[in-house]
Amino acid sequence: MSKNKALSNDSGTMFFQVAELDEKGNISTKCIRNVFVELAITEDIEEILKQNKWHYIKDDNHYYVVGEDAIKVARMFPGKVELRRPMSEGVLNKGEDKKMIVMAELINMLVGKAPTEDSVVCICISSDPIDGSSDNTYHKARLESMYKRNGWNVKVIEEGMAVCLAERPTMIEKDGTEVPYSGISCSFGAGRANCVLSYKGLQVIGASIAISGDWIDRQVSNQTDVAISQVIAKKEKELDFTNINYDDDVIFALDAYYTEMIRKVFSAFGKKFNTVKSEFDAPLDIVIAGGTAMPKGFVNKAEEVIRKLDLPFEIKNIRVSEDPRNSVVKGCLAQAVVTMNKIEKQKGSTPKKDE
Amino acid sequence: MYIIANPTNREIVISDLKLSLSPRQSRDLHEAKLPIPPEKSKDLEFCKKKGLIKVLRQDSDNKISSPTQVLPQKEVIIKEKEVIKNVVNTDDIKNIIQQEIQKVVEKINTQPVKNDQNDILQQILSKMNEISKPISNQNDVYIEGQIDEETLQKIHVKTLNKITQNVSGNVECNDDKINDTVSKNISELEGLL
Repeated sequence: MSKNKALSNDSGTMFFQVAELDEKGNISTKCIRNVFVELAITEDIEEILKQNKWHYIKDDNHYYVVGEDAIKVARMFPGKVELRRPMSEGVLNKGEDKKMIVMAELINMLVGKAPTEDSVVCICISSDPIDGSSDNTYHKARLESMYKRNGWNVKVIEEGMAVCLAERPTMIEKDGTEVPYSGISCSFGAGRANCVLSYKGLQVIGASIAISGDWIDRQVSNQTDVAISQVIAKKEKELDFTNINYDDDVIFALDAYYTEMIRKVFSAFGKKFNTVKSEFDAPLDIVIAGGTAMPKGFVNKAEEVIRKLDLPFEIKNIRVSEDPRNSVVKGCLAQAVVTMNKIEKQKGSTPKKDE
Repeated sequence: MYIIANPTNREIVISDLKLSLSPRQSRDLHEAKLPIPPEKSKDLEFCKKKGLIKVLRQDSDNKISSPTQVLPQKEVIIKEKEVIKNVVNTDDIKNIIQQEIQKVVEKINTQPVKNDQNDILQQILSKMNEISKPISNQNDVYIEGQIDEETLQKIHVKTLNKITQNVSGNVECNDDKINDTVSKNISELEGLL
């Protein structure tokens, strides 16, 4: 068996995830919250960090506590340390000057160096924005360079496409033939919503919009005057679209802004669909993934909103991934294995057993 | 690394470096074979001052002289005026030639001519109109900071190596096993992707 490695990375606004197929054919993942706090170097700081077994990155002047530990530190010292993010709205955070150190070291420590010259990592980026928000050219080049300097062959796909490769949407041709990997695949992350239209595994159009989880949290917090952290807690623990408690202001507002998010995202994608004059006669599957699609009953909410919209395509079926949080990283992994096998075939070495 | 770019929509020639840059082209001067080190180029300095050349990156740790890259050179001292002459604007040249031809044709056109000569002139004029259309319809589109992907990645790698050279840490993360729903897709995708 070849020693080449195929793995995937989804550097999201909220989570940094890595996945690989192990030798037994199982998927193993690493997932860390993509946040950090900065602490100045003091006499006793290293001891405190070690005692608490907190994960950190250190440069000449500072310690950066990362992941869930960063949240713990922020809670212990409210107002004294600020919870910061290397990513914002699906791209490297323009306003964060330590983003490169943190991201590069997360990659170094959780992914490491490529074991062979034919090893492949597949990463995902957002599709072109349709709302004039952050362009991702610079983000893509920087992310790619973080892997290339560690010897990886880098394959980049759009986030919606990763959902497509993991979730296998289908359309049925007039003669009854099932066409796999054809339909609309969406990822509702923290920073952005991404949608891709694909046909037989090839991307036809892709679009993204900075209206997703963070946008909902901000709007709800503004409207209800409840802190964002509390809004997030309610969203993650209590929100259930099959049983909305309209007496709870936050839940009520979450329901309203989820409706608005779905409406805005699919209306914008419908416009993009029209501008490229895509023509699909057969009804299309819509498959949704991403952390923002995790609340119970999200599929009912999506059905209710999308079916009412006047969209330029017919809808076959709307479904939510069984594993919304891992769908993107799984799709990237499928692409990484395919790309690595291609390289091996070209060089005449043994392809991986999934062949 | 000393990367410069031509932000204009015309060709720029830097005479004492014997270097020309097409519109929006970028170049790493420390990678190029030049007659003199770029840091000593007066023409380059002048172009930079005039905004004709933009420096995208200049590493301070690079020495001014790099003997392996410096070719034997004739001593060239160029004054600012000469530099201006050497900053070739191909669009301007096209316009000048076009105007000159137009003047000549108009001059001929005002003189009494025989019928057959008039036909020829009409043909020339209509041809000139056809030629000038694509020139006048050209849009000057320039995206600030546009640079080829390979150079951009080289810059990023260098920056990353620099900012992470004294960085260490103890970040680790436990592996979680998740439901494998993609292995079965892989063989199917082989035939498609």
